[in-house]
Amino acid sequence: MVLTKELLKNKPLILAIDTSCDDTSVALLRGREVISSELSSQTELHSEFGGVVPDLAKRLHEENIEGVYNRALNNNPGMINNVDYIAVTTGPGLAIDLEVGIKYARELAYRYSKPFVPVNHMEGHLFSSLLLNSKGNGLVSDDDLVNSFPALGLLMSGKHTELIYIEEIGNYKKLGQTLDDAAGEAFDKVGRILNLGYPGGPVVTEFAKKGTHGVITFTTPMKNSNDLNFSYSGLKTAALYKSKELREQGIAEREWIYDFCRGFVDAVTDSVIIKLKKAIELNPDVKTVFVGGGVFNSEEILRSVGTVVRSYNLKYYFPEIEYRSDNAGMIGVSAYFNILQEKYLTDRDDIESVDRDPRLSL
Amino acid sequence: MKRFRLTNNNWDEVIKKALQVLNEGGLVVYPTETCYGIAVDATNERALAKLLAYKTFRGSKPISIAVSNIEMAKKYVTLNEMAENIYRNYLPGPITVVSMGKGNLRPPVVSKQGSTGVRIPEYRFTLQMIEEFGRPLTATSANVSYKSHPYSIDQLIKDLPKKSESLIDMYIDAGKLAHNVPSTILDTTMNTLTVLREGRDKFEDAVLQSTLLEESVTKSAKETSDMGESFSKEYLNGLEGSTVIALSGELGSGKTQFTKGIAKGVGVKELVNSPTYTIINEYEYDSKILAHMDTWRLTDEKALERSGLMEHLQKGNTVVIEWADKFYQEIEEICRKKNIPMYKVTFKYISLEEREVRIYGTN
Repeated sequence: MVLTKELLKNKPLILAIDTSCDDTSVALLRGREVISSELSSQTELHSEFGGVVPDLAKRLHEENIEGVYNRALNNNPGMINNVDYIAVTTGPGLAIDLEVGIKYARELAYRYSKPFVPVNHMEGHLFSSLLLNSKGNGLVSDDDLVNSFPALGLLMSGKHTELIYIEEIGNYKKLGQTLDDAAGEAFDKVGRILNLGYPGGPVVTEFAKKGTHGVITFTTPMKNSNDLNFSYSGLKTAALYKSKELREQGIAEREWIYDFCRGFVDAVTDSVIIKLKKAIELNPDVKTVFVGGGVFNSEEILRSVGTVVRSYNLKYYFPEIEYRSDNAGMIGVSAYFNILQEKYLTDRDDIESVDRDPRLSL
Repeated sequence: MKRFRLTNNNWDEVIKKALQVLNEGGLVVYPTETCYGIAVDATNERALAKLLAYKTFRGSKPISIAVSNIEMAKKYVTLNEMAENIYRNYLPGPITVVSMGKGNLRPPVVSKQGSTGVRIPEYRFTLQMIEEFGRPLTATSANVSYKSHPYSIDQLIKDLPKKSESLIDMYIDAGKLAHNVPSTILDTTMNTLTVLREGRDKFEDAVLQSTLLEESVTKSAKETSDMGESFSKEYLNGLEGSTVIALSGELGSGKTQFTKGIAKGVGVKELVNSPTYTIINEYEYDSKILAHMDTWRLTDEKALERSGLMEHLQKGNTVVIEWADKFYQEIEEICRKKNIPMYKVTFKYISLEEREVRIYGTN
C-alpha cells in the first residue's frame, strides 16, 4: 500500500492485544497515537533499577488478560463502545498463548460488533518506531513516514534476528535471518554460561560497559559469509570454551568477566553491522532503516547501528525504550496499517475461522 | 539538626545516632558506592509504610534491601548455587542479587512472587552501620519517584517535595559521591540447575538401560546435522502416531544442529532454528507436524504441563525435545502412559568442533 498523508488522516480508535510472549499486554491507540499501553508485569518490576521477566509457569495470560484490558481502558469499561477495531496478534509465538489472546479479542468483537484485525507480531516490531505519544508527538512525522520507503528493517530480539526489505507497507521480503540462535538468545545464554542469573542479556550488556575493548576477543560470526544471514550458535560455543579456559586458569571471575562481556558484545555488534552495511549496499534505493526488538534496549547497540545508518545518509527510526521489548502498542500500529489496507474481518464466520499461526513470518 | 557531615573520625558518633533513628522507625539518607540511598529498618512494617509515603507514587514496585554480609542475607533469602557464586565473586559491590525470600519479610521488600533483591554496598561506613544495626536496611535510592539519582545531599534536597523532606529524620552527608550508575540487578530465581541435576541422573539411568543404536564423533556442525538426517530417514519415516526424540547435552553441543537434520530427513522445507524463546516451534511436513521443543526456559513441571507438549502428543505429532533430561521423569511417564516410543540422544564435547553423539532406542 502506498501511504499518503491523506490516508493517515484517518485515525480510528484501536484496541490491541498481544499474548504471544511472556507478558500479557493490551493497548489503546488513536491511529499511531498511544493512549494507553499496559503490561501484566509492569506492577511487578522487581525494583526501580530493573524488572523480572515472568517464566512460562507464571505466564498466566488467562488470569491476566481481564485486568490488563481494564487498565488499558483506564478502568472505564464503557470506553470499549468508542473503540472502532479490535486487533490481536495471531503469530508468531507459542500456540497455546496465542489462542488466549485470539479468543479474548474474538469475544470482544462479537459482543460489541467491532471489526477484527489479525496482526503479525513481527510487523509490530518492524514499525514500533512509528508509535506517537498521546499528544501526537514522536520520532517520525506523517511527512517523514510517507517518504520513508523503500526501507530496511532490522529486528533483533530473544526470538528473532532478521533483515527485511520493506518495499512499502504490507510488502516485505526477508533478506536474511539467523540460522540458529537469535542475538538476544545468545546474550541470555552467555549470561547463563557466566552464571549471571536470568535474563542474563541485560547484565552482559551492563558488564561490557566496564570492560576494555580487545582484551578478550571473539571471532565475529558470519563475517565472511556471502549472504545476509546471522548465526550466534558458534559464538555461544566459543564463549563457553573461553570461560572454561579462564576458570581453569584460576583467575578470579571479576578480573576477567567485564572484558569477556566486552568482547562478546563487540562480536555481536560487529556481526550486525557487517550484515546491515551489506544489506544497505545491495539495496541502494532504501531511504530509511527501521529497527526494533529487545536487543535495542542496549543503548550502545542502538547507537552503534545508528552511526552506521547515518553514515549512509539514511534516516534511522528506532522505538522508544518502552516499545523495544514485546508490547501491545506496536501491535496497534501494525493493526492501523492493516486497517488502512482494509485487512480486517467483519463477518462472524471469517472471525471464527481465524487461527493462531505460531510460525507466521514477514 | 538532622544533617551530619561524615568525617574520618566521627563514624561511631554518626552510627550511634543513625541506629537510634532506625530503631525508632525513622528515615536515614546514607551514602553508598552508587548514589545516596534512603534507609529504614527493612523488618519494620511501620517504617516501610513511612518510606513509601516518602517515595510518593511508585505503584507496587518492590524495594531491595542492604545487608552487611552473606550470613545476614541468608537469614532472609535462600541462596542457590548461582546466587552463592555471585556473592562470592562480586559482593560487596554495585550489584543487587534477586533470590527467593524465606517468608520473614513483608512487601514492599518482597515481590508478589516472593523474591527479594539484596545488595552489599561497597562502602565501608555503610557496611559498618548495617553490621552494628544487625538487620537489613532498605536499599533504594534517596530520590522520590521520577527524580534523578542523588549524588550529593544538596542535589537531593533541591529535588524533594516539601512533604517528603519533612519525613526525613537524618542525613548522613559524605559530600559529593562518585557518579557511579545504579547497581546492576542479577536475578537468580530462575536458576534451574537443581531441576536439571535431578532430571539428569534419571536420564543417565534410562540411557544405561537402553540399546545403543548409533555412536559417532562428528567433526563439524554439518556432520552433526547429517547424523540427524540419517537417523530421521532410518527411524522416523513412515511412522504412525507420535514419537519423542529426547536430546541431552550442554549449551552449544549440537542439539539444534541435530534437529535441523531430523527436520530435513522427514521433509521439512523451512529453516529450523532455536526454539529456546518460543518454547515450541512447529514445522509441517507431508500431513504431519514436527514439534521442536526446548525446556531451557522452563522452571518446573507446571511450566512443562502448560507448554503445549501434551497437545502435540495427543495429535500424534513427532516431538524433538532439547534439554529433555531436565524433565526426564515427567516426559518418560507421559510416553509410558501413552505408549509413545522415545529415542534418546546424548551430545558431548570432544573439542571446540568435535562432538560425540549417541543415539539410544526405547527401553
